[in-house]
Amino acid sequence: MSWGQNSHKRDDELKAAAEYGRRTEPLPDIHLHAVLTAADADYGDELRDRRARQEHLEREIIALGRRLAAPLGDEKPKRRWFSRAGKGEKN
Amino acid sequence: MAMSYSSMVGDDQRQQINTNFLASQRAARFRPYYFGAIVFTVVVAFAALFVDYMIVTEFWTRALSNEFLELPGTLAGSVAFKSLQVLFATLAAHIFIEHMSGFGRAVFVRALFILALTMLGGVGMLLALMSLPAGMADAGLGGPGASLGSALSSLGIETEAAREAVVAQTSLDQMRAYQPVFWMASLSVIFLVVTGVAALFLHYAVNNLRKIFETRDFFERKADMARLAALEAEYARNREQLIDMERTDYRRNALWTRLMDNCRAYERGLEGVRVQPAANRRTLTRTLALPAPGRRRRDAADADARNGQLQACADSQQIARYESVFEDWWSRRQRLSQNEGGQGSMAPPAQAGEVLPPLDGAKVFAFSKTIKAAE
Repeated sequence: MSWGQNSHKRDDELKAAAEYGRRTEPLPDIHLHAVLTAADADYGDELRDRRARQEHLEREIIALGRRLAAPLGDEKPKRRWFSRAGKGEKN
Repeated sequence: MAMSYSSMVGDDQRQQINTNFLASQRAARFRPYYFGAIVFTVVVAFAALFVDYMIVTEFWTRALSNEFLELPGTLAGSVAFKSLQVLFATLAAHIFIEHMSGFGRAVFVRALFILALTMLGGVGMLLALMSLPAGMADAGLGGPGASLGSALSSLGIETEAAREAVVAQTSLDQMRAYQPVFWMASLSVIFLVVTGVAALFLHYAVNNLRKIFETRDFFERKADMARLAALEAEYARNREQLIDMERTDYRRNALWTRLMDNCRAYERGLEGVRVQPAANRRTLTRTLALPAPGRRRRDAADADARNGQLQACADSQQIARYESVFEDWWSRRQRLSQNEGGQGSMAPPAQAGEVLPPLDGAKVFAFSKTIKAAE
């Protein structure tokens, strides 16, 4: 799992939990609720970011695929002088 | 989000991509050939330009010279500049070719070939006239036979050869009247052939130069294909991760793991306190000279209080308590999500963040101390 592993918020909550232990106080429910709420928010953010990244990847892959699959051809404009209109150049 | 996986690049499209890549790779392999072709065509084009220059120089020299083929001093210098018009004539022919279609270029090449044949025919005729057989020369075209015929005719004796010589001389005189026209036409044919060749080779040189630039497409295509592969791999990984993350049990497990991380941090802090009193006692033993009155009682009371606190902490570390808190929080979150609009358990938990205070270690600790003091 990668979400919230390196966040500053997570370090703060771990420090707060350790501080409760150093002061020999039971870990209060409010801290547990706050941890869960923050973790849930981080999880939601991660989920949203991943969905957005997935959509971006879809667009990138489709565009890149179209570009790479475009036919290789002469990029010079077709000329009509001395040739029939709409007929491709053979040389 | 629809999780049924299908590749963003279809099979046909992928096949086309591979075909394009192979074609581009094949074109890139011809890069040395294109370089060589450019050198060769440029050399031929410059050689043709030189020939053209010499032809036009001869034309201007003959046009401006006197009967002894000498150029007046003022005009001698201008012949070089006048001859440089071959450069612009070649460029004009090159532009003409560049604006042609394939059909027009084919017509041009065939016309050029006919002109070249005419030129070769003319050269062959000149060579033939310069090396006439001996019998024809004796018949009166400037050879000894002509001298004999003229001597006899001066004596009043008209021979057959003399009559033929007169006829030939008349024909030559008529031809001399058209000589400038023939000379000009021959020069034009040669000039057109050489200029056309120069223009065509310039066209080939430009084409090969363009192909060299097009071979860069292979390197860009290679990088793009590597990027496409990386994007597709990331897309697949992300998709797998999203499938997991959108499951409710996965979310519950992740939150529970985070909660347990906090419990472990709490345990570490508590462990530091458990080993601290012994160290403090050793420090006091070393620093105090005499025991203070009632110290043992105070120590015992402190130890009892500490033991009580440690016991309370140990009691609070029951897994059942954490599970209860977690279930309470989870059910509240579910209710909030449903009240928000029936989005289910996957709704963003912004409301829960508004209900509970933000996480701040120092503030939370001070807040809990205040509550305890009030109790």
